[in-house]
Amino acid sequence: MAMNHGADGAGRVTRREAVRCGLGVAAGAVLANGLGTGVWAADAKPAKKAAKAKSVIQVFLWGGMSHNDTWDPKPEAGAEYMGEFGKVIPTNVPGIQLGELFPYLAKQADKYSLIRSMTHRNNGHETAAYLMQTGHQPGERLAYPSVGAVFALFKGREYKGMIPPYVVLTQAQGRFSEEGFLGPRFKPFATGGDPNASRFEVEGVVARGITDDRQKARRELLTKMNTMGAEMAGSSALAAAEEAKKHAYELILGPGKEVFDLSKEKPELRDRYGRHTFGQDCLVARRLVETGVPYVVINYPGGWDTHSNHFATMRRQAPQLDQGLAGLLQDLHDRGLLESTIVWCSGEFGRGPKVDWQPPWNGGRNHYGNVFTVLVAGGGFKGGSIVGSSTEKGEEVKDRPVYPVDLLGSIYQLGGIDPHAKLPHPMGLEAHVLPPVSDKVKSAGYLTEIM
Amino acid sequence: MTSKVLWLPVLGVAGWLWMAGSVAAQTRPYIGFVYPAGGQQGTTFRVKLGGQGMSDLERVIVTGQGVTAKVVEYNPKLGPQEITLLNEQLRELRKGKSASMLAMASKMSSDTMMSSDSMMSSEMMMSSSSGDMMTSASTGGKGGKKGAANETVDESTLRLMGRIEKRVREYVQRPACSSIASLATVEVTVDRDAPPGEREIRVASARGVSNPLVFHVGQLPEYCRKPMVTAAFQVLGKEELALRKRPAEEIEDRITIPCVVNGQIASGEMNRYRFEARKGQRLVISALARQLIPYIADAVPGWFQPVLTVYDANGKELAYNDDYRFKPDPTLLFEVPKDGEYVFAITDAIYRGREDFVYRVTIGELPFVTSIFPLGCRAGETPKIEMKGWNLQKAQLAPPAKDAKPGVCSLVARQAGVVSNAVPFAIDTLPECLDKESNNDAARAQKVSLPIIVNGRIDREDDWDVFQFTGKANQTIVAEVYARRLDSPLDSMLRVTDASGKVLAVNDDYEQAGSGVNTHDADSYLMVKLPADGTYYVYLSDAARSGGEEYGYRLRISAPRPSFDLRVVPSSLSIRGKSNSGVSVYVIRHDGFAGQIKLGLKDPPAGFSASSVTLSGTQAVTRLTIKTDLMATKEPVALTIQGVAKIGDREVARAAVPAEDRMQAFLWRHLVPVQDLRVLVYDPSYQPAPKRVPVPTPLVEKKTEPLKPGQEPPKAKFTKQQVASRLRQIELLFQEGLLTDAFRNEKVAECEVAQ
Repeated sequence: MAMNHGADGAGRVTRREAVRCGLGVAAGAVLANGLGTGVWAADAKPAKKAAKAKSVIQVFLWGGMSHNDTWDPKPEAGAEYMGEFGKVIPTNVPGIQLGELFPYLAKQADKYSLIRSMTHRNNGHETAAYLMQTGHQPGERLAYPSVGAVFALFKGREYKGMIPPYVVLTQAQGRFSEEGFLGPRFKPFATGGDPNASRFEVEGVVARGITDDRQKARRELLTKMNTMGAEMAGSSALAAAEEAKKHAYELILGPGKEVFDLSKEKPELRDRYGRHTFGQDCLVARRLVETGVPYVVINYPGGWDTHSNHFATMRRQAPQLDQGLAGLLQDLHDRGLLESTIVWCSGEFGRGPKVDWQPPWNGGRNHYGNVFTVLVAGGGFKGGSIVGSSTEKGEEVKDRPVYPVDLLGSIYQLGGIDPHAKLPHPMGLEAHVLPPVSDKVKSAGYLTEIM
Repeated sequence: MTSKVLWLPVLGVAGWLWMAGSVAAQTRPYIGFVYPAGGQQGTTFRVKLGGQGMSDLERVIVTGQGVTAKVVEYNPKLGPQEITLLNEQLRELRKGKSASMLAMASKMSSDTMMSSDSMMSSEMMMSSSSGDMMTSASTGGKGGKKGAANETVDESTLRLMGRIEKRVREYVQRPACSSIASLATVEVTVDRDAPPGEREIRVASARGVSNPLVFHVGQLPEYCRKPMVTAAFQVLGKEELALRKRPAEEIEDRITIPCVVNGQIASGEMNRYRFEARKGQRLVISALARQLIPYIADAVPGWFQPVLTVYDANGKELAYNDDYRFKPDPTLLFEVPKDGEYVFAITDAIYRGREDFVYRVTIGELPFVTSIFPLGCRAGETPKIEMKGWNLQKAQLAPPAKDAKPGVCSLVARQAGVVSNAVPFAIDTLPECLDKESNNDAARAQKVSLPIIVNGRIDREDDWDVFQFTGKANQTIVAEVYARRLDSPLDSMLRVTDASGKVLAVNDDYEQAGSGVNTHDADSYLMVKLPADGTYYVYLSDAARSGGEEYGYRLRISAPRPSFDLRVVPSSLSIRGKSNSGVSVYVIRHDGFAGQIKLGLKDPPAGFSASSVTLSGTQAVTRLTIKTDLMATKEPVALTIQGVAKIGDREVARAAVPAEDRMQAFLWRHLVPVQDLRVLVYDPSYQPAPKRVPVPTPLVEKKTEPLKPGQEPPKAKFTKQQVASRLRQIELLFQEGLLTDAFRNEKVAECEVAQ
């Protein structure tokens, strides 16, 4: 059951329908709120050191991608473990090999490093996703914000852009609260729509079936009808609301919208990224980073939860991941953006290194958090390295375990965020970006070997 | 997004074809459900099984005495191309294209099928449920219809059409669960004196034996709903499109109690049963669902979680049960308030459903044991067992056999010949005593001398049972609770202190590798090395501070008793003639046992041997190779694998318990013990006789345009593989009796020219 979460239908809601069922209201509120107040991270300390990374692009492989079919191949383990993908291919870095499904990334291995010893030993989607994106143990008292929300909190202060500081392409992950206790202001702005479609209908920005002229006409009509605004001229609350509205319109009708307009890109470049949703997601991510958006998540448009039909799903999906990600790294590099942009790609866990041939799976891979692989690149991460390793059959960490706090801590450091900084809890409770090391929270140190 | 939608069917086919290869490699058929999961003594009835790899089934195996079964038919899961073929055949038949074709259909039914040598096929076809053409042919007498009226011809054609229409109608392109979409029907006969209770059913083909599933022999009249057809896959957000369209009259059934009702729950559905009851009747309504199929791999929670509700005639809810104590299967004890009509309803707690959501509910004034005390006894002794429950006024609890070996056996009570639910009873070798209240603290602790097994109860909320013993420095003692494993609701909490009250060890739950269907290892266990000579205390209570007369336990306090148990997985094995095959053997070590275990076969039947394997002191699992010098076995044989270890100065042999490795809710795995290990040796060159031999028919000539001068001959349109796959599809449908000879021959001829 390859679950393609949320890929169906959700992006097909017109703005009118969305407003009717209340979704549009929420999206609009987030936009207006974020833009209008401009007080991101009021109580967060500014970063101490100059950050190497200005932005982060996180490619999240919801469902958990197999590690040994992809970036930690174990051809010696035999068919019981490798199934249909027994072949490996060399990369442009001597000594590094990838699974056969990644020819494009094989040509870019000097630009990224692979952590082959990522581990948290958690096998539940929600709990593992929470661990990988907050660093905190699931099931504790507080619901912590995800790394993206923390970036929005700390980096949002310097960031003056029009687009919200934490963007997710195209659907929010939804299985855990990405903003945590930071509240709705730090929710990611989920674009909706499909960048590979002829028109990328961004939720609340590019409306379905409504031309720009019509949008302007509507604004004018609304202004005429704004009797309360006329009555209460001079109210500061209304002024703030007006300001937010102005920004929102700039986003809808002005330069903000152009960021999402992929027709501004050369067709050859669009081809290089791949003419599929994920490829064009990557291209939008680059355009967002170019305008200074601190944190962009590409929530992979499709699922990696390949309990069954695993090999067919991998054959279909992995080449798109390969092309899009390789296109992104190359393009960021060509534009000199890779230096200042962290790209990291991982699911919430890996998948069972041993193929499950039992019914109902009949050749699937199940959840596996004991060891898996994470790709990191740019923003101060060195390329062309392998961090740690897994055992002979990819079942356990062999050396240099990397725990969630190690990975996230390294990303925070490169982003100029103190991993131990205090987080503003609405009720004043003690909370920090990452938890201190304890019995439950294991750490083997930041990724200094590649920083 | 669009491209994805378009891909779905294509991927479905690709996946299926690819899977077909891997399934062929594993010869074991798999059964995911059995419906109904039981039947009454002295009856013969049809049972539907869903699974995969269920082709060429030859036999059905039911454990225990007095139950026989035979295969009626099997319907492999079809693909879209097979459906296209069937539709084409249907169109041909509808057109009544040519008289010859009809004649062939008639001929096929009367001659071909019956002339087949295979006993199986004629038997299968004659008893086929769909009332097909074969039946009519056989009643008409073999070959007795030559030159019969056209009427017969039409009739047989109509039946064939009916069969095809049914197959097409019930076809689901993307089933909710593909691995239960291959179907078989078997006929089960239960003798009048077959012992009631739980058994296991398996199917076997010439090349493999399936996993077993639970099958019950009951004593009451049975009511059985129509079996479900394959449910369609539910797309997230569009679930309603896949829901079953059920006529209103199928929602509620009228039953006469006492009886057993069998049903399957489809997604979003509730099944209702209306019955009459008299004031004062003490009805026990008890469901078996999770107890039939303990784990479902692709469902969360990982089993059918039924809920039972009783309503009065006006629809007012009178009783409800979700879980019976810690068991997901509900049991309702319902005292009827006044004469009248009542309804009980069953559904899944979160309204899921699928063909493998099978239930079996017993309803009536039936004996039901809620608790016994004590929960066990010393081997060789005759225990006095106190029994609590419903409808037990004249009931007798059958004590364990006098020569019962240490372990856990199961006891039932009988009331007027009707057996109650089974309750577990432990037998051990250590001295035993009873818990004496009040022993709620150290000051009033009950003195015991080791080794001992205390039979006690956490009698009431907040009760503590405290035991005092004298120990020596460096002596290691084990305190272990047996409660949940013996069906007690107690979730024990165990603590050992010295005389000053200092805690030396504490335990709530202790993971039992062999816990099987029990997902909460509630029984506490601890091992502690005593620091000095002196007095020690063992405290026992319930983790939630609950208590009551049913909160029984057995507490062992003794020196470590190193020992082990073994599990062998899977519980069936196919071996090619004069070859070998492997099973996994897991070891469960008790009380720190770290010795080697030598594995082998116990009293193997002639022709079987096992590789020489010794489990080291730290190994948890190993492979054991079973060899045979037989070419084939007539039927699956039972094998016993055993482990021998030296414990102290004794040599101890333990039989490995056969088990199935089942997954719960995408994640957890459990070794579920089953009754036996079945091994089949097959001759790889053996091919089951075809059920149908095609009869040559005159081919309808197709006009082909002569090649014009200079025109290239048409190129082959299909690859060899595609043609081979097409031929397989044709053969599959032909063998199932869904294609006429003429149609089959025509299609085969098409393939020949398409290469």
